[in-house]
Amino acid sequence: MKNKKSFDQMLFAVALILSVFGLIMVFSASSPAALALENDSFHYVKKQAIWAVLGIFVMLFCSRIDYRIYKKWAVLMSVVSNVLLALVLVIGNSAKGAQRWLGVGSISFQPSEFTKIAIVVALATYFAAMEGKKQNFKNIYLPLITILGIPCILLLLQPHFSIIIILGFVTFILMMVYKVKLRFYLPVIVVVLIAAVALVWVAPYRLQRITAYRNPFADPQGDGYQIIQSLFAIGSGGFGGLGLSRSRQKYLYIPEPQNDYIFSIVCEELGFIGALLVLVLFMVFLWRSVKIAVNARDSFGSYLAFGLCMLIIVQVALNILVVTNLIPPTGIPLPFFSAGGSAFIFQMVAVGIILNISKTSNK
Amino acid sequence: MNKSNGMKKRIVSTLLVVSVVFLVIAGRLGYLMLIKGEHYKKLAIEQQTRDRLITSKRGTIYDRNGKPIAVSASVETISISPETVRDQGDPEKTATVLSQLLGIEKDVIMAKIEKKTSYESIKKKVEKEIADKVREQKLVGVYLDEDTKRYYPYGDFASHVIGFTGTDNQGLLGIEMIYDNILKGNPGRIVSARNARGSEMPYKYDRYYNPVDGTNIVTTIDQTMQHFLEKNLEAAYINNDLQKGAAGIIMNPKTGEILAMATKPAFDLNDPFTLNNTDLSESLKNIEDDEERQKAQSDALNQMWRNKAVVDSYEPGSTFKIITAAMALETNSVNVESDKFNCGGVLRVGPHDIHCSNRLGHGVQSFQDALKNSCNPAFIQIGQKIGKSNFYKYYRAFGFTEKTGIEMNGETAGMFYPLDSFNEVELATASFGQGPVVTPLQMITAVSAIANNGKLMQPHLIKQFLNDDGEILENIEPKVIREVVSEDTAKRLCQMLENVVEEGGGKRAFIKGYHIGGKTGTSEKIPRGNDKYIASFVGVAPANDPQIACLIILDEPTGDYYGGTIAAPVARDVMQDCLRYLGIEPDDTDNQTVEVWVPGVIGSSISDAAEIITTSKLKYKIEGSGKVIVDQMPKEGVVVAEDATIILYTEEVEGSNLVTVPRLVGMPHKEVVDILATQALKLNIKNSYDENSVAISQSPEGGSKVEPGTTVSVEFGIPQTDND
Repeated sequence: MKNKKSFDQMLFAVALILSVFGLIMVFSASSPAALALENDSFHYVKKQAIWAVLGIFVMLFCSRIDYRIYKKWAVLMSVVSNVLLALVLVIGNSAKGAQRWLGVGSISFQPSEFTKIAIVVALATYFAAMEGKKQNFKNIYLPLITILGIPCILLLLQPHFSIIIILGFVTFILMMVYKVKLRFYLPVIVVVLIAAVALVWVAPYRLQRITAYRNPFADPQGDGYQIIQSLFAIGSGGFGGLGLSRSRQKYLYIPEPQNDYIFSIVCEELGFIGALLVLVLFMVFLWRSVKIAVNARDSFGSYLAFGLCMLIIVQVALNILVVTNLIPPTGIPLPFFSAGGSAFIFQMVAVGIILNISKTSNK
Repeated sequence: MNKSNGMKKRIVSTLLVVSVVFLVIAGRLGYLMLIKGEHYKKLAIEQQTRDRLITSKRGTIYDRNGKPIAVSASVETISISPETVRDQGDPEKTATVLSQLLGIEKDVIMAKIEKKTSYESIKKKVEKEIADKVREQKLVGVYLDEDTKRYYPYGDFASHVIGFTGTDNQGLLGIEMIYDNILKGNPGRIVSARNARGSEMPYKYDRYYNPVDGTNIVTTIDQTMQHFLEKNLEAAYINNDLQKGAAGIIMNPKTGEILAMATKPAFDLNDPFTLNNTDLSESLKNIEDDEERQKAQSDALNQMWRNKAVVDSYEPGSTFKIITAAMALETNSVNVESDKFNCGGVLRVGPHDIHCSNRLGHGVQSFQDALKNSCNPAFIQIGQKIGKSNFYKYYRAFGFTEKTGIEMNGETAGMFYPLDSFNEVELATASFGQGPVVTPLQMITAVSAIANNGKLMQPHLIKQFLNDDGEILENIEPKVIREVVSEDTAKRLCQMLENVVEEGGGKRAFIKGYHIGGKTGTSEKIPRGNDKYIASFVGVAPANDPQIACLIILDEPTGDYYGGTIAAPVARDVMQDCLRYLGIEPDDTDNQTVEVWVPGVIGSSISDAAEIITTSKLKYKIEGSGKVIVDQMPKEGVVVAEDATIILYTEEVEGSNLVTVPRLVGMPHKEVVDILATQALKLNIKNSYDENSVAISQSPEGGSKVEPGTTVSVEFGIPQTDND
């Protein structure tokens, strides 16, 4: 087994394609809003382009760092993540009723993106260490509560539920992969249900928002507005789309079309074919990552590669399910496509780590 | 620390789970984009675009000489984009200005501005002048779009024929409705994209579709003749207090062109939704129940819009004898020279006694006299000679069993007995016009066939289609449907019809100097016994070379109801006006009369007046013992026949204007009419009369002094001695 093996070319290619594709779509989707709000069509895409270039370097950089080092850094990363999340609550910038950002000059940073990586690293470390050990209450719940509980409470305070949902899904999937015994799931389910009821009880509008998705046309100007506009965009795409840059729904109909609903603009401009292309690219991404995870040199590598890949794939699935009105709306961006610096950089970190793991995988 | 195979399997199996999720997503996308795609796209485009209609110019409707009778004028539709007014405009000012200029409540406009929509119509069909004032205000978010509005320059003229349009310029009646598609053209559109804030998108989505203007239509209607018809029909409608209105048609028998078609009472095409009967519309307002009132209102409007001439069928009565006569001549069922028809006032057909209008009977008559006397028993005999099958065949051939196909809405086909129930009695009554139910249009079309050497023409109202430059797109050529009777039959019958007018029951349609052919008709409406009648007259002129055919129908007159008494004079006046207008010179030297203008002689001395009057080829009669003429009757400017007597008054003494009622008892009808006319007295005939009637009583009595213009009521009867 050569140590100087190159990384997985196909995964690298898919990551690059998705990045460029995403950048183009950000430009297309954001230009009308950018012109209307910032008086500069390129306002958002300029920023995103910088992030993209930076992200690619970050990816290449991470692909050269031996992933095993994260095992040693796991605790440190968790501590840093929690400190940052706490800092957000103290000195963070708020936007739209949530406090999620740390500002450094003109650049703002979203610590929750780092949290996602830190938690996956921690979980991978923990599950790898647990390999072959007896499962009991103490060694299942205590670490999970420690790793997941603290950041979740901090995220609830922001509040930032969508990250909690993603983390919940990824943790659950890694638990499945580790094969946590069934009896340990039951208390988790009870806790999640109680939490859900409590959240609705505290703010009943959430329930309304959840139920509104079943019939968005009941309130087309209110709760149903975004989803209706999304469906109009998707439907307008038809088979071949209206053509790149020719979306009409991006003209202030879909609020912030470069963000959570960018996939509907992809559908409108590139049609069913374009939408399928996006799905296929993510499937290839998943396939290569799974292959790398399965063939990783050690189980830490497997958990890490798979966990990081799932971080992205779960977001993709949830985002598109929301955009196509299959599940109630939550604010989850589409990896590689939705505009956003922190999210993009840490996605590239994740890809970089997976690429590094691929170097060591045994064929 | 090696990985277990179980772990690999579980990782790979998540690949499957994710694949399933992605497949569901792909399926959902397929459903949204491929199946529901068009639906969503349509909704999306609806919200993304502002569709501004550019109304196409509706075609003008002309009379046959190019006079516009329905025209479109430019108006504007004013609308707002509420979002734009709120975001970029001044809602308060917008509402105030629009309210002032358009006369709409400010609150109403304000409510529209507050709506969460991107388009609200404020007012349609705003006159250019006002629209320009709105434009000057340069209000943000207020749009003006061109539209057209229909104007009818002659108001209630030919209203049932021309028809009218609704608020969206759609034709709702008459030619406007039948030719709506041709008249309206294709509206153009400006489709412009707009973003969610109602302003235009930078994206080039604008599309401009040119409007295609409507085609102009030239009708066969002659504005002048239509006016003659309407004027006289209107007078008849008022004078006879017609309960169910009047209808009249003038047709060019040679081409089938409708030169005039009128229904009375008419309504104002510029205000077609207001009832022409104020009493009725007041009484409708008193209906409590909303639904009931609306129904009554709509029924009343539909009644008002009925084009009686093509919609309301009637029993033609004696006018139908023309058709029976044509059948008899064509089939050689009668020998015009030798056949004699006896009338004893009543004829038994099967179980029925059928009476003649002349209860005393007409005695023995020739075919020609039977027509002149309008003798029912004679026509029963003629019908019997024609026979059932021929009668039926020709009835069809004259076009009575089907719609004529005129370009009008609501045309009906009339009714007749089915062949298997067309028996002896039906044949007998049908022969004199009782039984057939026909439309006025069918009737005049059939009579026109006789006036057109036997050729039945397609009646039509449209002459030409013109484009905007006046170029002819299509000419509607006269169309012969079939030759119903031979030229010989037709010519002989026309001759006989002239005789009916000159000597028979149609004499009130007689115009001096012209050959007028025609026939009167009086039919009792079904159910019979209610004293409800339809009086009609159908005539052709000149009978030796027919240029016009004219049908007058007076529905449910009050008082006198005989066609010969009330319908014939209307037809005479209409035909006289038309013949003069057409420049057809009087050529009947036997009865030619020169008409002269009455000169004004008031203020002249008796001798001067006498000279003036004599040189005008008139006679005079002096009343009173003064030396200067203080009044004259008829007045200056009236047209009278040559040799008419002008009464000259020389005293202004109270009562000097009184005229002496002549003694009329014993005088035949014609003489009564003439005598009263020279005395400036009006005649009211209390009952029917025919050729042989003489006055048997009068009121006021002869010899009494009355004001000029007083009505003298005269009862006519048949003297016992005169019963040939």
